[in-house]
Amino acid sequence: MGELKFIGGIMLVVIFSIAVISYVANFSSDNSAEVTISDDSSFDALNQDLQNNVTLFSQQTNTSAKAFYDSTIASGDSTTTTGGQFKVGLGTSLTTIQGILSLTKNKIFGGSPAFGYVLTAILSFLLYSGVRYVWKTWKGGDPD
Amino acid sequence: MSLYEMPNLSSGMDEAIIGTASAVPGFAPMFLLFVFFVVFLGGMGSQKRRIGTADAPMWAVVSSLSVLMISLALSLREGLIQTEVLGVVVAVTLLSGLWLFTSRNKNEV
Repeated sequence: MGELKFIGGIMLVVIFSIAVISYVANFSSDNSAEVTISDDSSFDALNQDLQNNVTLFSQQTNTSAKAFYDSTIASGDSTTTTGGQFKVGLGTSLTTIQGILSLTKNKIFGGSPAFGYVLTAILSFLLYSGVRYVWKTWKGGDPD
Repeated sequence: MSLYEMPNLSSGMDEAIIGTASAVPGFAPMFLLFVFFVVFLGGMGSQKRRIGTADAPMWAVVSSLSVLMISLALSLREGLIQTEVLGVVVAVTLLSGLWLFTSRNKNEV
């Protein structure tokens, strides 16, 4: 299923990012490195944001799963009215990607607002793809 | 006035490298860029020759992780690498991961 692959891919990005930042920070700490990214607070902030978003994603999934488990569909209904169980995860997971792209903009391109447009375009495309996936899963067919 | 003064090799090879890095500030970033593209282009070329297609996102992750490992080793001594360079290397690694994990088709990772 496309939506599972999409959200799964974003979750892997988040876990990969947490692992890389934590490894680099802990390597510097364990070996008393002279140069460490712990001197730069933006990495710690991004790592904390990613971990918070993963926790939020877990809580939202639990809430949504319980609502889905308790829900019933009357005979003849083709779909739910809100589609809440299909929309979970998209908002919080894309917030994590926004954090990664912001850090990339600040560290590689010095926070240049000109490059912000490119990263905004990437994020918008991911959001657009996610909305298409959710629509297809919830309503069926293409949203046209 | 000489263009470049030889570093003191009697105090160890790391001192010579630090001397080079202090004389030429772009030494460490250029070295890391060289390693990145050697692994990236070499890996892609080798894979393309073997199976006909090259998996660019995967080689981007492999090469950026290689550069990250070298950067961590360089970060143990003062003067070899700056915090800004280490930050860029980590940011490139995260971007490569983003590229890899959002580029898979449904039969892959």
